[in-house]
Amino acid sequence: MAELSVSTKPGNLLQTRRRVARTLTEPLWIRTLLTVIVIAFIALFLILPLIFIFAQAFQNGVGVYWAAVSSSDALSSITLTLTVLVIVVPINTVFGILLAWTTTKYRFRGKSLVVTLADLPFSISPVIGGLIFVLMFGDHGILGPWLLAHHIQLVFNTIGICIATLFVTYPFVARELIPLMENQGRLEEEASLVLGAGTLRTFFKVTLPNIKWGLLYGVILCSARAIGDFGAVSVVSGHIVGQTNTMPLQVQAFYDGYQMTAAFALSSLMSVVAIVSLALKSYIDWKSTRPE
Amino acid sequence: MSIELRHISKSYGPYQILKDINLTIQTGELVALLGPSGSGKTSLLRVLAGLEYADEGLILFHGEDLTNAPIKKRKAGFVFQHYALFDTMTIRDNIAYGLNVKRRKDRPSKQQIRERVDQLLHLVRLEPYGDRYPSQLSGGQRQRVALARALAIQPHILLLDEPFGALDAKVRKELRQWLRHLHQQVKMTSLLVTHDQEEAFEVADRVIIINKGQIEQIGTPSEVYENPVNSFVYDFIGNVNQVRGTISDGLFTNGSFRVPVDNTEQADGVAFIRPDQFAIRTPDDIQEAGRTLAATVTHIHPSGSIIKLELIGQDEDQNLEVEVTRREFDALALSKNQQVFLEARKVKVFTVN
Amino acid sequence: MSVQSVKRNKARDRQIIPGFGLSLGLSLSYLALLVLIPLSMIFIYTSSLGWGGFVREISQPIVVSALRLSFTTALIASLINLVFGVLTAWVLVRYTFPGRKLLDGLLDLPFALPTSVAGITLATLYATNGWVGRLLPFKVSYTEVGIIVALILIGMPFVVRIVEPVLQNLGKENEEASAILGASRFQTLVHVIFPKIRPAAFSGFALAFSRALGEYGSVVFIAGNMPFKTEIAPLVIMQKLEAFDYDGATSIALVLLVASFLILFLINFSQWLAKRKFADQ
Repeated sequence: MAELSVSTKPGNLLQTRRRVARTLTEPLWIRTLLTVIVIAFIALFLILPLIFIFAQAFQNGVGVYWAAVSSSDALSSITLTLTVLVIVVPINTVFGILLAWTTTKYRFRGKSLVVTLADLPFSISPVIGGLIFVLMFGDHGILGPWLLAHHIQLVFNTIGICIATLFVTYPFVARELIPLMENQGRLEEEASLVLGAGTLRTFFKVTLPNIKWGLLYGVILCSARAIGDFGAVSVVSGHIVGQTNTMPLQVQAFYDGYQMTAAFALSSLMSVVAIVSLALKSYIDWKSTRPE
Repeated sequence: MSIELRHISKSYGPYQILKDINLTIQTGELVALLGPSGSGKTSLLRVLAGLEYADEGLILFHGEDLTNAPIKKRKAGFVFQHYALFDTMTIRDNIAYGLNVKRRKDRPSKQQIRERVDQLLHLVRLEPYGDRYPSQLSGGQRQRVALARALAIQPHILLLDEPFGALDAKVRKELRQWLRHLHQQVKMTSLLVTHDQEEAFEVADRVIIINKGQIEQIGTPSEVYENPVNSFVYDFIGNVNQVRGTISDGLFTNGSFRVPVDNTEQADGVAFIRPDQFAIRTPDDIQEAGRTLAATVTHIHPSGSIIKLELIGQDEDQNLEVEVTRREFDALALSKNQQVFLEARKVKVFTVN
Repeated sequence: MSVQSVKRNKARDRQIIPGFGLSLGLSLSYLALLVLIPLSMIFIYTSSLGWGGFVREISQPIVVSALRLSFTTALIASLINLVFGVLTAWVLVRYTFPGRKLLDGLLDLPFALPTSVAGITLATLYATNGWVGRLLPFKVSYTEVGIIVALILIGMPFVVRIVEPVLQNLGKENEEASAILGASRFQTLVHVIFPKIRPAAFSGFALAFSRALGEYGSVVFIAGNMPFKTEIAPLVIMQKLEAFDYDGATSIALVLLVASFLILFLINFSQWLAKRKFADQ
């Protein structure tokens, strides 16, 4: 104790800067260089195009922009896209939750196969996503003659667009939920059941509050894709302007017709939706990692 | 290789985690750095290894100033609590890593490296496991690999950061004895960080008690256990009963319990008595009434060779713990709710600030 | 199998949470109706062509050239994304600089932005009179380079998003151990850090490749779609469909589909391999 209370310090005492050991990180110039490269890469491929969309959309002033987005072709494409959104997203949300619930709260053989198969629409070409429904429901398709005889048309109209969109957006909700629910395990649900709650009640009172942020993000991704899908919808739409053109298809129609301002004006609306989705995602990340 | 630390201080923002640390470790000594979590013991070890730098002070390895030397120049072996094995490499590659990354001119030949790894595998008794991956080994085995890997570069000093902290009790005990044995073989200057006093006492030649960034006491295990310098050390090292009272005229008093102390000033005090330093008496054979507390048995833990008794003192909030040998216990024929007298063989009184 | 073990298995297989049959039934029915049966159309339809018919369809010069173009541009773009993805993940996880959070959030833009919007934007931006195109000494829009630019954009998030969490969970201890054992920073990177992120980086690369192979919307605007030069496979499917050439469209689709299956299989296999070898129990 006596030795510890010595307060006079020796003259050769070294004052050293606080720093990180050199072999534990890269030299400053390398860190700076890498950071600059990454910022430049993201700026060139993401930020610049985003700015460009709005620059093009407003290049002839707000009046022209407004005229473009309120033209009848633009408005009918917006209406169609919203219709598809309202039909597709709720259905796939329900079935996405159901898939995640089935594959994480129960044990059964072939579970990982089911998860892999359900993820297929994510990794195959959207054009194939449209083609398969033409092969099923088109006039030359397997069910074609029967459908024709009963005057039922399931492709080249709004129904076809909805079916193809259901296909391409199917994995998004489950993709977000499965890892989340896997980590949470079954303990809380089992506790709820032991306390006498039924399966449905357990789901709404125990499971849902635990997954709400992941679910919200899944729904956002599902919606973004439902609005923006181009390949699959292209195949099954029939491309009738004012009737079966969704917003992305109308963008193409404007672009091919050299109506650049209109094309970019409509694009800017979808870009705003994309940016809002990203902001919501960041908010959800922040919210779900923050201690309650 | 001796280690000397002079006036080492370090802080993170407003928190000073090391305050003017001075200590010397002799060549070949195994010293344990013992303290509660957050006491700064791991930071001190990291400063020694060069993973972090001190704000002030000097670090001397065998008299050479290495305060600001890079990690590599210190030639320290470091064993992490969670092993930090490279799990994409086999056990052999893990152990050989420090040799394989040497500059070409310093690097031993492939043949030499192989022989060295064989020796080390033998030393840590893991010869059959050389070609496995860390994930295929148990925790105790992994920690032995970590030790072999640290020894492969023939370090001048060995630093161990809670090396047995992640292992279960039985393996921990085995490894402790094994490490003691290993140290006797290699006689390398070693510093072991731990929060487990039993571990420190069993393994180390000397123990350094650290708390809130300051050294409280340095000594051999028996010195520290027998003569704790202050109430923190007394409390931290092993179980202890605390009896509160007042000090006046060179006497600590709690009811009829009176112990003479050196201090003549008026103050509040606490008497520390270890559970094994009580003798259980009947009213007839009390030898020194002033060192005796009346108490009632509330619980008996009858397992093991030492019987633990829980008692409650005359003032209701005074809980006491006493340990007696089974033979004593049988002779006394104690039962629950029985009133007894506890005579303290050894008491240490500290003033309360 | 003895009677006893059969009994034990039955007890073990019983689900703890009620509703398993209904949940699984509904999930599988929906999966089958929406995904599996429609996808099987491709196989059913091509099998009706026979092997000879299939080979005849995909060996048409225009198809061969489109498939070759699709595979090479997808490969180049995803290799570029692999390098920049690992670099981006490293910088975003390990370094701090102003705007880091914003960049990290922006990286998901290719998932949220409609592909046709990306397509017309890149086509105009990289046209010879566009903001970027006029600064470059070579043509980008309406060439293979343009296709690669579009595929880089849409494949950007895959590698980053898979490698980021791996880097975050890596912890500092392994690097510290390596430094104490005498390794230089470069040796630590090569021997300790890269092996840890390799499986994740490979998965990200494979996913980006798979996505790039099937990409349509962002590419058709910038590619210029010149037969034998800048026509990608999904575009040829589209053209054959519009000409009611279902045999041709389906045959190309089968090639792309099989490639996607193979990639998925490779990803799962490599993850299983990595898990079996190195995973911490």
